[in-house]
Amino acid sequence: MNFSTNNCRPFSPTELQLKACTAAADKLNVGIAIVDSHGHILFWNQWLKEKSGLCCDEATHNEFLTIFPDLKNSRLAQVISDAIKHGLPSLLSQSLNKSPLPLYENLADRTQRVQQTIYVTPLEFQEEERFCLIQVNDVSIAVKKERLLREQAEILRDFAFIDSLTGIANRRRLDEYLADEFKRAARSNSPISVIMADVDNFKQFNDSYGHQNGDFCLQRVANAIKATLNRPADLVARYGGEEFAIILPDTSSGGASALAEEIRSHVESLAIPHESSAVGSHVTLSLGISNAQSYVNTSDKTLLRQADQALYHAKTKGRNQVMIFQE
Amino acid sequence: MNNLSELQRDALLEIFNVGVGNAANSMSQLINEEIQLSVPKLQVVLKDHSEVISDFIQSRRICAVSQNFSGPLNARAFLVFPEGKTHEIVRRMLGEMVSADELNTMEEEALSEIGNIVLNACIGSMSEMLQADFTSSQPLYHLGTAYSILSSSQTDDDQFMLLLHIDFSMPKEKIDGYLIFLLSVQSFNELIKKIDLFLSHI
Repeated sequence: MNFSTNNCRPFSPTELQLKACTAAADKLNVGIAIVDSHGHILFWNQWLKEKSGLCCDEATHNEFLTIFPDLKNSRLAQVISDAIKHGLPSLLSQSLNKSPLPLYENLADRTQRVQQTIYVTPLEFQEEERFCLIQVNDVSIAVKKERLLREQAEILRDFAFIDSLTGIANRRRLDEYLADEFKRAARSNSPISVIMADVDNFKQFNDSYGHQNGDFCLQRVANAIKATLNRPADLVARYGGEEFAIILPDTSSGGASALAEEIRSHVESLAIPHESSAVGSHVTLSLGISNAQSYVNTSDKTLLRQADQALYHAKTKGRNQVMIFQE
Repeated sequence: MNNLSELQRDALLEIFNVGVGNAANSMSQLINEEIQLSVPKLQVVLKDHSEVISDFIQSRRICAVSQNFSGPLNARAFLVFPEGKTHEIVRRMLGEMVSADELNTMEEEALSEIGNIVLNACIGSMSEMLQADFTSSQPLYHLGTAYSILSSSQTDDDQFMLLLHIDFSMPKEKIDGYLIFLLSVQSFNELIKKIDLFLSHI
């Protein structure tokens, strides 16, 4: 075999240096194991002893796969053989290899293994025999930190998409969701419906009862709409002011119209007093529906505009009703 | 001199296709999803390759995993993907949906492992078919422009660049990347010698 890794004079350690190296290996804050060309463990450092519960005598002079029978045919066993047979080094990342070695932070509680990044490197210090160095890093803390960061990023992201008054989706979320769902519907040639809903005579409500009660009214209406939707893909968003938009993927205009009627009657049944309403003595909703079936010459923006036109139609027809957009 | 004969080119392509084929098997097992890799095209480029680099990678930044290997010939090997595509590969493999601009440490490590599997498999098949014994370094992760990554790890001796297109196919997704080998004149000649020897045995 031809080993030409560096040009330095070979290091021939004295006995003292050898002792020092072994002592140092035992103090390292990483796991170090050396496997010989027959798959026997030659060295097993203190860190590995502590985390595995295997003492040096049990580990050394035994075959790696006899001690860890679960690792037969595993990627770790494969790369150890690659290192010894072909001189190839390998990296086993934590994310793609879930804790290959049975190592524990606390040996009394063996439910959770230490999260590991493992480096397997060929070692060439002896003519005619190649050894394999296994280095195990504990990345549990890094994994935990990154999980926390990701969770925080998700929370922040959610906040950016929520309407602070009503707690439902905001306009930004609506625009993104509608664009995505419209594309999906066009790809799969399935129907999609949009409902626009508006609180009848809301300006008068604010004038009579004050803005605080106005806010409370919007919250109750938002909750009522949300409670009426029962599929996870349906989304209600505050479109602006007292206007709400509802996206209904995989829904025909008939389905949307039945749902809109349900929402209308649900809000009416809340019986929120509204003395200055032109419709009656309670808060009511007008709703407009648009629907896409074919996807030629239309867009997500068109769908919103058509729902808005249908809503306008419902208002002019006398409010507290549902209208479907007609060409 | 930098022109390989048709036969030599075919032999090299075969070696690399065997290599990446093995890598695809290992990766499919690792993530339980069918992955296919192939190397359809190979170019030999001379040292002053900055133009080629700006030509072949349109995206501003790339991700790369590199390993140096030595033996009868020495080379620096890179697996290269445009930055955005790398995120797709890694997140697809890890099954994560949240998209951040940069890969986090654990994702970088996963990508290093993917690069390690592909590069090791290529070195392995070269070693087997060309009857040569190689040793290699652990994989290194790089992020930056193709020019800065390739030139920083290039020495004056590296006169040749083997540029291979690699197709990375996962269900419903196909990603193009590159395999790059930087070689000295001496190593390039040695490679050609080994290929000729390999061809003479067929």
